[in-house]
Amino acid sequence: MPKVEIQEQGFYGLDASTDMIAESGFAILLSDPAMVVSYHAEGKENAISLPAGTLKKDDFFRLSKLTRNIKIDGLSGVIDELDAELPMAEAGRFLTEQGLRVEVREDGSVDESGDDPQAPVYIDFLDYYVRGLTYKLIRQPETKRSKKFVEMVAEFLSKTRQYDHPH
Amino acid sequence: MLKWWPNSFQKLDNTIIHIKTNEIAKKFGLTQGAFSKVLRPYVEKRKNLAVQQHEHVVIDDQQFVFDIAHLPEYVDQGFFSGMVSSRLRIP
Repeated sequence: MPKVEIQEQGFYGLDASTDMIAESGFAILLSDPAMVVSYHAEGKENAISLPAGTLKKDDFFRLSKLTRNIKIDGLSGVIDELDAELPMAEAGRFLTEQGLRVEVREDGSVDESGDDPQAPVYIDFLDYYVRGLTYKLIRQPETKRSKKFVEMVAEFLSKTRQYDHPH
Repeated sequence: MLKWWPNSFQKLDNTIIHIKTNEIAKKFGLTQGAFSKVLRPYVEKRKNLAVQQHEHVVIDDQQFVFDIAHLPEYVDQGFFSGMVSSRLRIP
């Protein structure tokens, strides 16, 4: 089980999660290092959390060598009350832009159609991002914000891998 | 040279891009054309960046690829910033 150390560089818990990420084929990304400890205690040893500081290219390289599938747990919303991106949303966007398959767990939803009726439901990060922004607009409609959010999504979409060499 | 973008990452095909663009536009209450208009400059910027990143120089039969985000060590950055300042008339 990883120790909680604020000074740890890169994704928190990645060293302890390496084997399980390789075995399961995906990493669970959490916002809080303390949550990583409890996830590992529950046997979900492929859980990691965001770096203490900024997400660096080397951190991304290390993670992408292990897996290209990231499942984010515990993300609630995309932006804060000042319309700034939440750190986890920013990380999810960054990882998606780099070509990783990022999904977000939907709180309170389970997949009843699958083998495990208690299996959580994950949705595509881009869909989650758009939904998060449009939800904010529905609650607080404003033309200026609407324009900003549309531009945020447009920029995000343009940076995803499919737009690198459009036909 | 450190290659930042691995080539092997999965790419979605144009059909999926089209559907995604349409879906997103609808969620914002826009037509696909209106959203595409917002999207276009961002895509053009990415295309230009991609072209620049693929530019390379061949010297003595050796191919050199330069990272446009980082100037080589031998470049006198002081000289360039001085040139830019004088052109922009920055004191």
